Amino acid sequence: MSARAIATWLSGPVLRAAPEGAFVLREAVLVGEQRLLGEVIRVARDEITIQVYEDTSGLRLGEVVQGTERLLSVRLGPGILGGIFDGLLRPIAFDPNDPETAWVQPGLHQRAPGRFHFRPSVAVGDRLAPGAVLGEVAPEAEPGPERDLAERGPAGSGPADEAEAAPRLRQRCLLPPDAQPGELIALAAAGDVLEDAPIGRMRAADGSEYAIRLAHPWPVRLPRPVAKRLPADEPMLTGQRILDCLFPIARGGTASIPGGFGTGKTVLLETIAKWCDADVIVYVGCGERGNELAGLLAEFLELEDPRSGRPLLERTVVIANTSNMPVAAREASIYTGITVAEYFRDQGLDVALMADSTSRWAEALREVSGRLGELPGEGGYPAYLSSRLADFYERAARVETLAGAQGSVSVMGAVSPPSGDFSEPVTNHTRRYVGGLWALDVRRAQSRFYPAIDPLSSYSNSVQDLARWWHREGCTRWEALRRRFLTLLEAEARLERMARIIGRDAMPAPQRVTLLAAQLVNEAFLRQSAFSAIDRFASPQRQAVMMRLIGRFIEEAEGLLERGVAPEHLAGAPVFRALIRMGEEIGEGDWERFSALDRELTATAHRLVEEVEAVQAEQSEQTEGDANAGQGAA
Amino acid sequence: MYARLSGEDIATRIDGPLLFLQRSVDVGLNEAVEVEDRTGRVRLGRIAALDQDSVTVEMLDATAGLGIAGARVRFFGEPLRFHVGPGLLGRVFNGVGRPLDGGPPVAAQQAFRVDGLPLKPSARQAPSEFLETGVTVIDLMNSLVRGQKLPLFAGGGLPHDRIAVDIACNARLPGAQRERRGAEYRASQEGEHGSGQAGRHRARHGAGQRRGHGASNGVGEGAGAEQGPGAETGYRAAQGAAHGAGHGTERGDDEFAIVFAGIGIPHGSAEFFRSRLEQSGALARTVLFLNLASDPSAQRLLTPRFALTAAEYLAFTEGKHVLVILTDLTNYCEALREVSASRGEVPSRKGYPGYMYSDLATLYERAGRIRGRPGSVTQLPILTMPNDDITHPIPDLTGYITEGQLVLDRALHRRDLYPPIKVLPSLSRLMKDGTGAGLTDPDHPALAAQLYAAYAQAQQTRMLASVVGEDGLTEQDRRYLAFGERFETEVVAQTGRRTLAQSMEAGWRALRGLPQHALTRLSNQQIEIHLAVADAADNADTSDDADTSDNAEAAAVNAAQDVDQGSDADSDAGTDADSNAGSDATSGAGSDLGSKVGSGVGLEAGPKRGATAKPSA
Repeated sequence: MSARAIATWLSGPVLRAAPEGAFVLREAVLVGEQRLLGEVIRVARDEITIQVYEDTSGLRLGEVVQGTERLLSVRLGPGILGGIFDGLLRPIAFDPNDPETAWVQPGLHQRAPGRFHFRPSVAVGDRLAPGAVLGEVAPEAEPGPERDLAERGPAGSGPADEAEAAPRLRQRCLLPPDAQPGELIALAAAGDVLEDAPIGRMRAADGSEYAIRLAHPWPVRLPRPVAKRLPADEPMLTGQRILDCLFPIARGGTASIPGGFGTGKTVLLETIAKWCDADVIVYVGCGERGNELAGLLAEFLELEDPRSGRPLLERTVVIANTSNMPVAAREASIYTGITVAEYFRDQGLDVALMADSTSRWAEALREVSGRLGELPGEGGYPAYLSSRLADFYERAARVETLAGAQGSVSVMGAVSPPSGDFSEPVTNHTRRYVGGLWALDVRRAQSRFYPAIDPLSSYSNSVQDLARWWHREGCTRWEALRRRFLTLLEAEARLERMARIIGRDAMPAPQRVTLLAAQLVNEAFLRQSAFSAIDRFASPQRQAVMMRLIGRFIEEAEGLLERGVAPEHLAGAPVFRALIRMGEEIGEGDWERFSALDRELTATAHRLVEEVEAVQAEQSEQTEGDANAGQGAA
Repeated sequence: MYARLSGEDIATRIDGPLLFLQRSVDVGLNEAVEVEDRTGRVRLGRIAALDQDSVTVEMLDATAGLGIAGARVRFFGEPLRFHVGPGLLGRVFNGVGRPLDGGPPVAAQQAFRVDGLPLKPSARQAPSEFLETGVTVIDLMNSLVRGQKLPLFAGGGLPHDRIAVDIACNARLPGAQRERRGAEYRASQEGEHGSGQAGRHRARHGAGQRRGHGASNGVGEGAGAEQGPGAETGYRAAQGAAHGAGHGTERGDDEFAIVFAGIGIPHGSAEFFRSRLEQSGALARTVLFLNLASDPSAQRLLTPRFALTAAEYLAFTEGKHVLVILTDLTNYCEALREVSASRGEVPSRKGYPGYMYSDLATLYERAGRIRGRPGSVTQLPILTMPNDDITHPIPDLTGYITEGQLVLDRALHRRDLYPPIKVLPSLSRLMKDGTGAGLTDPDHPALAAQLYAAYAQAQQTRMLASVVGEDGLTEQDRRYLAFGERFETEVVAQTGRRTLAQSMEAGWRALRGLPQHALTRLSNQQIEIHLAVADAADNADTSDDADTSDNAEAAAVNAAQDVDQGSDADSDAGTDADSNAGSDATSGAGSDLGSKVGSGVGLEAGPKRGATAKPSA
């Protein structure tokens, strides 16, 4: 018999109650007639404090709080993929035939179990450990083209294999990681089953028996166990040049995207969600805009995954708590998101989690903390902000799962610093735990230079580890070019300051060459429109070709300088404009046009040299002539 | 509604807007109450907090005159609701939904909770339909899309009220009102703008300095003054607009409606809004909510909620496209801080409550569309940035919720350019979804991107020019300077309403004169189609530039000549644009501006150049 309590005090989403029976910390509770979901966040002998995850309007004192004897959990199962949920994984789908479902009403319910096709891969009598694979699961309806996950092999997560993974992949059914090891004593035959119906029975070592199902609950604040963590030495390709080439993120890595409003955090995260090469995307919209999420949903339904031809939505889980939805659920949504990501990781998949924005999550933490009357720390945030952030980012990893497969969770979190001030607590604490920082720059955003990532203040800690991958892919100069680009940009920043004082044209020619080269790096390489049909995605091959071409231009420009050609001549040549627009004009696989551009660059360089030499020859002839004339006169 | 519970003599304490009661009946959070004092006067309130033995009520009417003894409290047993029905349009209400226009209460068909419920992201239709405001900087550069929320960040003394009213009068659904653009209607609009401008001129430069001063009568008094050319314009304005509105309703214009909420505004502004809307005939398609600065501040928290409830009814029940203009959200946030402080809550940044982000979100997020329903709620909230500081919590938190922002600029305003919208920090996040092929014009997004990039470049060049002086600039830099001026005076500044096509034409016109190889945001094809005219001249100039770059003297001479030519061209173009608009009074103002701008640049460059020369001397 679960414990009960009576509500005695109410303020916003926080409620205090007098317990009758034992409650434990972080226990999920149901409040009042509407059975609003809440969580016990403080326990005393005669009073418990509860955070309610829904709108508390109309809640009265004296209402009954019902314990559930379970930590706040979400039910993980194959039906999650392709769905949209609130911060506690309750579906918030809309039924156009029922206008009432357009609004988030208090008292949401858990997801109804879906029906799936289960094909076992174990047999009765097998001894199974927690996390063991029981079989494969596929959606019952729409027997579309399916790919067998097993084909990838347990270690198969190289780029070639990635191309094989598809959204309509067969998921795996696992023995829950917290289950008792033991012997399988009953198992259903292959066929369609409901997610919450028993598909078999296990007998544990101590003789106790329990049923196994497709779906199982897991507490959101508890990381799912793994066999071991693996080094993060493979890139997670995002299709964005500035990220993949300058500030790459590894599979299992973390990155933070701080930026003031209007700098393009959300667009960047959405772009990565669309084009990155993960198997499953978990998109946590945390305290952000409803219209943006609606746009994301519509677009993901429409866009095709280039690797499978299926809608992108089918490989995505959207967890939405828009800014006007109950604030406490916002706090939970981050944990729900990463728990879902870990669930797919444990099936041997590569998962990318986008959290937009972690600042809203931190503010939710602050709001609840304030209502509890806790001592505020820096910026009004509770003192445990930093350890909560660490809890979250530390759950990102590339791992060997309990079943021996390899999977990863990569985490990208946007940070919205108030007033765009990066010294505020959330940005600062996040910086301590992430492997990469993609700092967005207001000035770039204001001149509509997207992605507005500032190459000077951004960094990535995984460059060394990932260079080997690029070498294997045939881009042996990746590191050298990357360093060249960054030094150019650094020099540009310095020279720009000078140019502002003395004027660009008064600068010596070598510095003008630097500025020109930096302009090309910026305009042709770093700028990439997320909305251009051609340029929104760049494969590593295309990135490498463009990188090489720009490298060639820099060499040519420097060579020309030595031969006495002013950089302005090169800038005025048609090839310069063609290079600047190459991302926009030349699509994937169009290698011939890139080669043509390369040839044009060489030809232009030759022409310019010839022109200069002709002028020089003329001048020297003239001086010679003058000298001759002088001699003649003498 | 439940039978109302009531209690007598249960009040224990009154503290500012808060009334404390003994907990005698079972009530819920956020529920509405009515308090009747000894004299029989009824005040509205809502339950803000509950604990074991007391109930805190936040009073929405002034508590002066309310006593503890003899107060009767009636509990509604449900949250505040707004009774809505057909006949809402054309009405004027106060901040809590009571008619102010002397008319009868609205024949209620439904009663909606004023707090609203959060709309599920999955139920939202992603906004993608363009809404034309008639303002170039918005339509062309930061397009507003139906279902969007796009705030206007203003400052004290900036003409945000006028922009709000102009948009309320001019906004339309593209295509719906094509025929309505009769010559008569257009003339009336321009007459109005002209008179508005003249009015401001007079205020600044003293009465009668500029021609067209008579027109200022037309603003405030309408048909009151019957003599003089200006008054005639004003009169025609009222007539024409009324006429236009009448036609509009006949021609299916009734899809469009405006909800206008004045939050804590001074009486003068309220009167300005009401009279301007009335004169232009826009009042017939408007619901007006007026909460005056002198009304109790707790009411201010409800004004936008009543307005949005009306908007949601019009949009999702009647199927209209509703534009909600809320002004001024800064007053709302001040009220939030005041009420929060009186409740004794822990303050956050600058004393505003920690939940201000969530609270503002419950307003702004009520913009949107619902899948499968015809209507939309578009929001244009206006706020004044305290001390013009965009990092102040109010604009900062707003910017994090809304889909972009429009920022007003004091420098442009000082130069008398209207509307003074600062282009670079302004942004519409949904523009990409509502513009381009099939939505507005295929070249619209590229043109906007190119204008942005070029204007950003022009601003940088200006900075450079203020250091090295214009003489030290290259030919290309000087072209950017000229572009910057042209852009501000011909694209940003406008008189009268511009259709999107007119706005785009102004944009293309401004781009001519920039070297074409620098227009990297446009495709070659776009350049060919729209900018072909200036082609030959450009190429010649570029090669020229390269050749003479070594020769500083020649460049300086060129520069001097060019500046002259530039300013000439400017004022010419200015007059052209204005005579296109066809209003006499404004063309005068336009060329005036041109000359002022020219001299301004000269002055600026002068002393600074001197300053840089000093150290070397």
